[in-house]
Amino acid sequence: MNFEDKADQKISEDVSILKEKLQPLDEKLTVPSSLHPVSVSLQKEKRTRYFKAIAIAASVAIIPFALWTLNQLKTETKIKKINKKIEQITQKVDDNGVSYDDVKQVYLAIKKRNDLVSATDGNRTFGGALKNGRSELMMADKANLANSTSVSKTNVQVDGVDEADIVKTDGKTFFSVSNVPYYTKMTASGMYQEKSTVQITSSLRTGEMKLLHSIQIDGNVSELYLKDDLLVIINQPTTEYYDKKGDKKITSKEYFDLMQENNNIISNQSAYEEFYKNYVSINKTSARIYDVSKPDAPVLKREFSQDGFYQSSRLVNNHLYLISNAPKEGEFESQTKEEDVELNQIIPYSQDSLTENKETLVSGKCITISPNPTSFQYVVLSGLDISAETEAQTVACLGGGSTIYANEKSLYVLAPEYSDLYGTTESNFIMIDRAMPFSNKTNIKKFNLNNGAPKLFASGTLPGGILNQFSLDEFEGNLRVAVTEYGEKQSNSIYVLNENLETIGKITELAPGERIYSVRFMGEKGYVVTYKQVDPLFALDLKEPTNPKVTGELKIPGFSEYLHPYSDGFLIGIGNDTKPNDHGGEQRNGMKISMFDVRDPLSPKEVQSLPIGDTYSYSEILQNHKALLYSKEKNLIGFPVQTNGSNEFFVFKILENKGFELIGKVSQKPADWEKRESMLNYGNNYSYSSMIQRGILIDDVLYTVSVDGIKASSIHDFKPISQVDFPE
Amino acid sequence: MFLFSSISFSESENDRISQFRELYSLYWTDLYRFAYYMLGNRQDAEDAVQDAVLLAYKNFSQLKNPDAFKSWLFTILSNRCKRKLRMIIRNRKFMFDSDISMVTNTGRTDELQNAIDLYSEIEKLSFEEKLIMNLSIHGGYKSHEISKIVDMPEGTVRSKLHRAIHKVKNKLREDE
Repeated sequence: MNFEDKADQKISEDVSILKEKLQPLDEKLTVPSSLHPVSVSLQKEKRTRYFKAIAIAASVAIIPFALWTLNQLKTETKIKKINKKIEQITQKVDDNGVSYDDVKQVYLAIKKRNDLVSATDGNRTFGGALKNGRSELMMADKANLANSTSVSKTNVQVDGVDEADIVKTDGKTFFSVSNVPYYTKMTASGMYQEKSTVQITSSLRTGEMKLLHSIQIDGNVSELYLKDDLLVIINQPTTEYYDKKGDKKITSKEYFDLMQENNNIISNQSAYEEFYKNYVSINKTSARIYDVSKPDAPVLKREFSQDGFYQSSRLVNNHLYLISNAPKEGEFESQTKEEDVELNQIIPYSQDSLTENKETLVSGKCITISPNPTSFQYVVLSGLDISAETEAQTVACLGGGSTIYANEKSLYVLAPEYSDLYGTTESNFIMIDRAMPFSNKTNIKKFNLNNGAPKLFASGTLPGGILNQFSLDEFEGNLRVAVTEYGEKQSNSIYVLNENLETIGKITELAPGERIYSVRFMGEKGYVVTYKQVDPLFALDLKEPTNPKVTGELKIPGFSEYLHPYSDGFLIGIGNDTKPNDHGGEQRNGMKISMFDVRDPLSPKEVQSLPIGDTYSYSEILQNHKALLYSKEKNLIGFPVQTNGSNEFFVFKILENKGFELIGKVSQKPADWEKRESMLNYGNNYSYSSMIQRGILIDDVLYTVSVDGIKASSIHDFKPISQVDFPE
Repeated sequence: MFLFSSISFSESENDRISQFRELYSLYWTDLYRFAYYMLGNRQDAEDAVQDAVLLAYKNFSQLKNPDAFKSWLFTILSNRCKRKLRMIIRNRKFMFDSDISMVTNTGRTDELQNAIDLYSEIEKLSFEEKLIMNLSIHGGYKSHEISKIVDMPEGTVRSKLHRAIHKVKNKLREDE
């Protein structure tokens, strides 16, 4: 028997044992009758409440049909009244923000509406904090570019607007996030780590590559900025809980221990809810600013925090813009009197070490309420100068947001509105769920950055959903947005909005039945990739904002998920190859990199398509543009690739508009890898290789960065030069 | 009832409906349990399975091979669960569905308590590990079949499954 069969046999035995152990619980998990093979619905009916009413009436009690529907109608009228009230309050919002009383009224109205709605069709999708947005913008510092062209920078969407990343360097020192792998240090919640580390390593430019210092930080470190001698670490401290009865804070571990104890003894629904109502979770996003003029001895200068889960950030010159989503549920019932509603449950706060860490509620003047808030969640945006001890400015909008796009002057926050959607033929095709534009509508909020003092400027709604931050681009004052519109007929559109977010031009019905997989706007031109079975690459002419047009189309198998401009008239696409599957559709068949000749807008062409790795090859570049290493001057492009069993950093030479040639691959692992705790769980016969996250080019050295360490290799022959291993 | 050994797509909608219900009846409890383990509560599990069934039926005519029905439906359901998880408030307080808690609180046998503990451990796994583990337990799939559903190399699936089993077993051993 070969190794795989032996391993499979052992796994089967273990799984059988687990299945047997789960049997008593599975028996209690009775499948609802609505899913019974005889009665499960196969076609979507118009879900009016009447049908459900009939079903319930038939099986439960004898309720006269007329009375039932009358009741339904009454409820619907009540709901309409409440919606009107909410509209009234949100419409009177003007430049001066709102009063806290307005916020209380909106909360109470929405809670009353929720009570009514859940009494009728069990709709529970109000809420839904999106923890991690997919957007990560990279910002290249214009000033620094002048002196260090031989240091590769993070791949940003907009020049001059820096984006945070897990590694930053000035050429001499690397600052990298090294979160301890969760499987060795998993907390009870499994969601947050107790400690994270930022490693500070010197590059060969200093003569020797070595670990200079490790900064240990509570919670989960997300990403970093480096500007001159300032290091900004953005982290999510471990969730704490506030015990209302005891009037004290307790840790995540204490909370989950309590939960475990109580799950065993609470015997009814109301006691259960009573127990949990007593605890409110505290989630913060914080930015810590260090002086790293002496990299081996960083000094903490300031810590700024705001309510909520980290979404994204930007750095423009010295102004940091921090965005989080703060769920503020308000632990009170709809019947609560307005004067009894506690402000700290419904208004987000910020904290600054400059003001003794006092929790300050965002002032009413800085709060806006979306016209139709779909969640008790605020998008919180703060602006602060990292180089000065000036106060931060925080604004908040009720109705969250996850995708961020920004340029030097404006920042856009987009919030999808989800609903149950029956996407087209997706079932037979690859379901690439990495980024999912599956929303009915997208709400856009535009903030003017005002050099560190952000303010909401305009807000609008578009049909459909966007893919990621590359779906938007502001050019000459107008915002271009590429969306996929869902519904009975799916198709794609390009909208052009003016500075007040009013639609002034559009292209609709683009590639019906398909959805967008990548977008790149480049000034007066734009490129969109949609996919169903073949990859149409659409070339757009955006010269006239009121009259955008599709000029040309290219159909090729597979699809690109990331587009990168090369030289004038050429475009690089990184994506997937496809092949037919057993279900009459297609499945992924590994990655590929393509060079497109788009000089003739009427007829884009594929110059070359190079397969990468094997059938299952995957790379972070498919969902995160920051994983790209791109050097125009050396004509190189690289990214980390996982293929069956291995993690390597691939580097390709770009052959002047002709295509690509793979010139080298780097893999690495720490010297003591066999002894590491993380390896003990790995399994016996698989050779380990570190998950390389980034590749950075400094002079003629390629540095590959992973959470285990940094390796230096020659960019000419890829021979290893040096390596620093991070302690476990 | 009788099984169809091959799907010939007759013009009759009624025949198609029967064929589909027939195939679905072979897997319906496993599908629900899979969704429940992935999402942690009855309402979401029910919604996810219903959505998957609607989507599957809509595209039923594209299925060429009846043997592929099971993995096809599990694939759709896995993706539905993935989407649902993104929409559920991550700040979820309940680690365990209060419905089940109530039903099982009166007179919990040791075996039932052990099953609940085991379920809790599985619940703590990462999304990928949970997905692979649940496909194995409730779908009865081997590593190479799972690799097609989750679009990951077979070796990766095997090692993740191995690691997940290891984690869960360790925790249980601690308690014994």
